[in-house]
Amino acid sequence: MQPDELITLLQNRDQRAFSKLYEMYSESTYGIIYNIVLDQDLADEVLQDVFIKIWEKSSTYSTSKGRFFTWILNIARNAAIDKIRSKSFKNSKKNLDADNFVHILEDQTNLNQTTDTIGLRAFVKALEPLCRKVIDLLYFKGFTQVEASEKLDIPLGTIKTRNRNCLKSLRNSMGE
Amino acid sequence: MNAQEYIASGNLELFVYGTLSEAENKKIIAAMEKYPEVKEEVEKIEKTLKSLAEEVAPKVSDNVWVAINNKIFGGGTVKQLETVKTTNWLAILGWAASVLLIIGLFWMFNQNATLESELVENQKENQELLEKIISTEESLAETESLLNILRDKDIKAVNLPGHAPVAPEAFAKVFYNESTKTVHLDARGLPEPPEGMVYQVWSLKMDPLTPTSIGLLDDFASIDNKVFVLQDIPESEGFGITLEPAGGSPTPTLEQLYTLGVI
Repeated sequence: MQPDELITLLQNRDQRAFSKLYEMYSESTYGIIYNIVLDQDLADEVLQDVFIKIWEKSSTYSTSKGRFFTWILNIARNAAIDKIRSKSFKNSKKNLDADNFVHILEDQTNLNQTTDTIGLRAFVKALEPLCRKVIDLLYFKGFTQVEASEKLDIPLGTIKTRNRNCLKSLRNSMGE
Repeated sequence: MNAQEYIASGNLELFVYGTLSEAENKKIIAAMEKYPEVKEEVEKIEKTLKSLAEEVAPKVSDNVWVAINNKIFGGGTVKQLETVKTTNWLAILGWAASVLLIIGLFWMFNQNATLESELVENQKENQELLEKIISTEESLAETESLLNILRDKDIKAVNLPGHAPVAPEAFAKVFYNESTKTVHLDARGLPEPPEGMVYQVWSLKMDPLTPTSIGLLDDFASIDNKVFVLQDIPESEGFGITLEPAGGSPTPTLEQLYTLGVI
């Protein structure tokens, strides 16, 4: 479900709607950003910038273009990538290659600790290595199918299906 | 494509990722409107992805929302600025009033000082005029009394022409009142005596010729009208004036006889 009414209110400069949407989308947005910049302070900065942009540019979003979630996702990915480029991370490419959300799950001890996600986390960890890589590149890093196909050295035609199956597994593990 | 074909294509996932082309996006959006199952599937995918992203990062710090709020709705500062502006106007008005008051006070002080100095000048002028009037009145009284004396019926006027060998141009006049034994001497016709010398006036008896000193014309230069009053005049038949050393002489120096006249 997409909160279309809140979005309309946001577009009419409603502060409470903005606050509510922040509540709904800030954590997931932060997850995307964090997976790219891999630094809490930097991720904080980028999240700020992203939501200021959401407030300022809300009028440019339209349901006829796509999901509100996707719109935010694009803003977040671009802002995060801009940030690590502007910080001229020497190892940014390496980070992008080596680190994905599964590593983060394994490395971090201060992640969200809600009980209903323990199963998800366990299943994420149990995902096939290729699934992790496909989801990481397409979802978190915003790669196109062509880019992901080249990067992972698997046929372009199988990327989409593999990605769908990987996500389906995740959904099943969440009890659907 | 029917609903199941859309769902199986794997494009719905890419649609939520935001990695589809514009044209493919439009197709999916159209399909979502046409088939409720497609829309439902998209929302399920979105929910899964959202949960996944939420789980792979530390919890968002509360400071981020505070910072966002401050940056976007820092409205308090604007209101404060407006208040400051209002206060500034009041302050400016106050200062302007003070400056005007100071200028006004200074102007009035100046005016007062000018008026005071004018007043002092006027008073001074008045005083001078008053003094002039007094001196004129005094002068008039003196002249009148002199005139009265000259008009007295007992007065004998005696011309003392210049003594040719010493001072042919000199002359004097004596107004002799026998009853009051007073002489008014008009000495305007005499030249100023040289330094250290003084005119001495003599009463004369003719037979035998006896000169008696009746006074010195001291302060000759300082008396403006050159009218001298001499008292206690013995019975006289004539008068003469000689130039003598300061302090006078017991007998007249005839070589210095300036004027001489007989009644």
